[in-house]
Amino acid sequence: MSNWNVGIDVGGTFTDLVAIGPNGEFRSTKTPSTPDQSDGVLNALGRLATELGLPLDDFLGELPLIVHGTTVATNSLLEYNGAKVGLITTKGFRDEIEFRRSYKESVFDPRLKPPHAIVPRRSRIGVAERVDHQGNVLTPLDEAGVRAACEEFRRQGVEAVAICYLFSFVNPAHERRTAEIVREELPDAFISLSCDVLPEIREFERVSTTTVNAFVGPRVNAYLTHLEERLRSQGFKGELFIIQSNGGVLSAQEAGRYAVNTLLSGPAGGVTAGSYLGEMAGYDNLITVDMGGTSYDIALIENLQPAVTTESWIGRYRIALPMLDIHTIGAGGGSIAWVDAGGALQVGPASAGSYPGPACYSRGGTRPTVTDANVVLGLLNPDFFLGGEMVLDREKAVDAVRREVAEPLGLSVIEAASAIIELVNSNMANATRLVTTKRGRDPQQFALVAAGGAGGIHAGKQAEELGIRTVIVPGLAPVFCALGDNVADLKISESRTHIGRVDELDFEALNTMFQEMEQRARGRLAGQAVAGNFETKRSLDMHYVGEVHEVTVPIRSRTRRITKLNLDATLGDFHELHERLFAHKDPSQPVEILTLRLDLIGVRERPRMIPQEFGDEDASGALKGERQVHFDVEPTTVPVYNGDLLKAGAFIPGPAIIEQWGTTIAVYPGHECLIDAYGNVIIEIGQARSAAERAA
Amino acid sequence: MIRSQILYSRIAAIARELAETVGRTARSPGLTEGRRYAAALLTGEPKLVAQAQYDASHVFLIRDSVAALLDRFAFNLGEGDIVLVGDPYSGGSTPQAITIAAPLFYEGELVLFPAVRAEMADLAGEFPGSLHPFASETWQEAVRFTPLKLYRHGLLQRDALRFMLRNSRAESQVRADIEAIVSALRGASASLVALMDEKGRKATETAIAQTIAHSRALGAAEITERFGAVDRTERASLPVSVDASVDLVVRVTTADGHLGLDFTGTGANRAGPYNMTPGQAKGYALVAALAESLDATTLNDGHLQLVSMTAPKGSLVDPVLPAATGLSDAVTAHHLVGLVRSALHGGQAPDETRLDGVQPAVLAFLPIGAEDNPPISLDPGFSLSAQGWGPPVLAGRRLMPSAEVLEAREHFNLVSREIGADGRIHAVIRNDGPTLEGNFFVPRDAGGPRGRLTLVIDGARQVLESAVLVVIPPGGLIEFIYPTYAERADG
Repeated sequence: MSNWNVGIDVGGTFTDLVAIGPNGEFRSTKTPSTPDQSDGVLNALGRLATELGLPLDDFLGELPLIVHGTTVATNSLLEYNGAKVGLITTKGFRDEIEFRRSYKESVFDPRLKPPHAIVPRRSRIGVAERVDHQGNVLTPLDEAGVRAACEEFRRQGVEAVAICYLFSFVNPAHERRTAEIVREELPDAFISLSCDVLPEIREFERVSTTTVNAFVGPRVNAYLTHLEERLRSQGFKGELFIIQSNGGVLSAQEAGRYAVNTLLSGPAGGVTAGSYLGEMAGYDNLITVDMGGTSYDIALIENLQPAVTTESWIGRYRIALPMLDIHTIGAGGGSIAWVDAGGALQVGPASAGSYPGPACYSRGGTRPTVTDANVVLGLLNPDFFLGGEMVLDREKAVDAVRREVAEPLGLSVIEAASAIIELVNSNMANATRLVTTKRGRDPQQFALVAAGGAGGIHAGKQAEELGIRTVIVPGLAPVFCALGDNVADLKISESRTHIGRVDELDFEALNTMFQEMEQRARGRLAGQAVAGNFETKRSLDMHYVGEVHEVTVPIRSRTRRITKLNLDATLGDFHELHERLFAHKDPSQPVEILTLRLDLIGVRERPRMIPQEFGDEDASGALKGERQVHFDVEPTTVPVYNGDLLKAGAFIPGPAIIEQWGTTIAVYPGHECLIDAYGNVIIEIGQARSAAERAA
Repeated sequence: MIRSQILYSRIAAIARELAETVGRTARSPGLTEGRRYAAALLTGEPKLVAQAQYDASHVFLIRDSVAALLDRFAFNLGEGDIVLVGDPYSGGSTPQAITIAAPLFYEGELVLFPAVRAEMADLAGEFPGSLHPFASETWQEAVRFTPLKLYRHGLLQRDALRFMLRNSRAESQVRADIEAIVSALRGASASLVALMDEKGRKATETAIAQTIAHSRALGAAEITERFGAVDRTERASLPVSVDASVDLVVRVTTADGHLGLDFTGTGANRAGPYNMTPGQAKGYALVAALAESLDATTLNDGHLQLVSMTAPKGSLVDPVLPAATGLSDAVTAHHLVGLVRSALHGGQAPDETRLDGVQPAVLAFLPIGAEDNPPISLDPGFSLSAQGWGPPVLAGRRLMPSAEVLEAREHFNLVSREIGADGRIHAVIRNDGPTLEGNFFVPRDAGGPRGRLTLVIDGARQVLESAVLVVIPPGGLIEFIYPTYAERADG
């Protein structure tokens, strides 16, 4: 057992586990998620141990590593049950977090409510101190003021203290001294320092990120400590790692210090798995989509590197850290179809969720959803939902679609269900197109990786709409995020603001800052034993002087030292990237650097799946029957395959349905599918049909 | 209809993407942080197909400005032409705003094309920028750019561009903004061609027509459902100086979901900058009626068709050349929206749903005479909205400046920015750079000034109302107190 890797992802409904053995053997399991997420984790481990015929403590005792994707931080933030936070900030600036740079999510709607105050005004205290933009101290730190703030926090029962002073990214001395005082005064408090969490210019972005870190930090720490104790008590002697929002993993202890980095811990695994899958299957450029019950997540992977953004809002909170760029829209199996006052069909954004859920769940839901439409059309088998663990009521689905869509629009039930599916497919395709065009890419250059329970039904149609030629439904689609947890590298993302025009740069200062960032990153990775090789990736956030948004440009240098030659090449890349993104470049304009970025990646030896030998093309051995499916208004009788019995090399021309536990895959008319050596379903879409053909 | 919905959603996405691209690539703070622009797609009639905007000021104005352009160049438009207009009296509103359109010929006809309307940093006028609280003629606010061709058959008309840039004290910002807009328009044109290639021209035109009809029906249904049959006249006295005001009177009617505006009785502001063009007035009235649902829809001609108005020629809402219009968005629009909402709610619009909320403003620049003199909007806070948090709806999606960026880049030290004991936002800015001059504006209503601006020089405090060319020496402080329209939501 000694070389098994285990990845465990806790989702809203299920806790998924993927274990990869020393010989590339894969095991996976799913158990219901639990209020205390550690119960689900232990249950999943217990189930796997049982499958392997081992007592849990024996199994855990041999495991070198568990990588975990957790939603504790996300739930804490979205359900507002994080820690009681106090904020110490520069006197005169305690309301920046409330001002939000005057941003409101809605431009026009006066009914929009304010976001929940994760640090109410009475807990925001300004302390006299001031540093200028060059790091000079203008006003010394009022240490007595800090102690008075601590006294007030003690009175309020504050559990976590966020500290954010102006220009602390240039000179962090005041923040560090404040932290020392807070440690003396409130020894049990969790402390979040902006100069550590996000040492970058723009005070609102920094204070928001730092405060969210304080808000979720104690909950995440408590959970990780609790989980680790339980694992240790069951014999686990290896290392516990947590997947972060940037797609890398970190030790549980380090992840707890920067808990804000775990806000996308769940979905990050799926994107990382997409990259791993692409490497195995031979696709460098992928779009991963994950369609669940309420949402549809889209991420872009170019040259096997997932796209990253620093412009995230999670819930209604600004997080300016580099995170995987996962675009989410409210389109899922539970999205409700309705007819608006002007007589047009709409799908979502309201969702029936999992409770009461779609009408066909028979849990009291009466409104038609995407899942209901899929059942009506025969795309979903009501007797094989979750492998038959849940039986769906087709009649209720038909009733709901008839009552709320077909009759108001004067359509047949089948026409109405088809329209619902067509519309939701279009909404998802539009969102996907936006993600690619935002990065100056054409979706036709990508393969589509469809994960999530409902992804396999809709992927083929979306690919058609987007002009994508290949869809990959992973063999491990139902546990895709846990697979990603298993294969992610260690990763530390460091950043530092350094404003200067490219033609006036001080190379010594630049190189010194990068060296400091690398040292700090190596310090944060010290002590772990799972990565032997380290890679350093450096980049610069650049823009034309005056632009508000920056473009992150990798530095072209093989050495640690950045020279004018490297920088000239990087500058050239900036102009090209700017043109690609915005159809516009101007090499005559001065360019400014704003932020230095460094990723230190601890490369783990990636487990390799064992490729199966290609067998016969004939898939009849997996045939489990046939049924009528409405791919459009007219019904078609199609073969239905048991996906778990399909062998590598099996070839299935569309139309067909493949059913696996947790996933149904629709192979549409004109599409063809092949099972690859790793059990992935590769669907080829009518090979690059011309625009005119598509129009016809 | 489903097919049309699907196709239209692609068209709407192109409009949104056009708007986002302009915001990301423009150079002037007015566009990048102030978001004072809108992007749209139009037909050759022109009808508004889809528009993305970040405030209420542009609603009718891209269509109206493009109509002026098409009227001027009716039989003189060709492939690759890009045309421009910036004139309150050619479909516009406030000075300094220009509309650039890229007519796109598909199968030889003007089917669907993009346009952007944006406020430039400076296009002449008496002072740098667009804030002139005492302007009595439009030329004091900016030069008028009546329709001209910026590109002819794809070739830049250098004389036209030079003419524009030579009429600006912020040449490099204006040049960069125009280049960004033109690039974004070309990107949108390429997307539209690809869409029509893929879906076909006929299907595209059908989708546009059906969606416009649907939006009109939906908007009419909403007006009827929310307000019923309205016939009510509201009036306000709009202070235009310390001792003078102008009557703003509007009779609002709704019939079959149509919003009728009759401004009979409205006075004139011939010697002041509070005038509002008819397109502007209709746009604000539409926002007053549909604010609650506008975020969930894509603005198009169906919405615009819901509003009609009559007004006395030469009045505040239908001024005649050369009346100035510079404070129409900042002041007149707020009064108008308040009146229309009040009328629609039977004279008692709930306070917590108010959209308006005027606030003071300061525009600083180097002393008059500097050739390159891009103005800087010193606007460190906002009026607290009637909702008790954030700025009012009519403030739009302006991004408040970062104190750190302001200090590191612009030589202004934001000394403090915080909610005061009075529940208002207080901010203090110090000039750490060379001597500047500034135009100050403090709006008034019946209760007196809304907000307060105080200049502090060497300890001497001077409370300012509206003023021009106020000297702000190095070390000079400006104290801002913004008005509030409600108590803070979180006590």
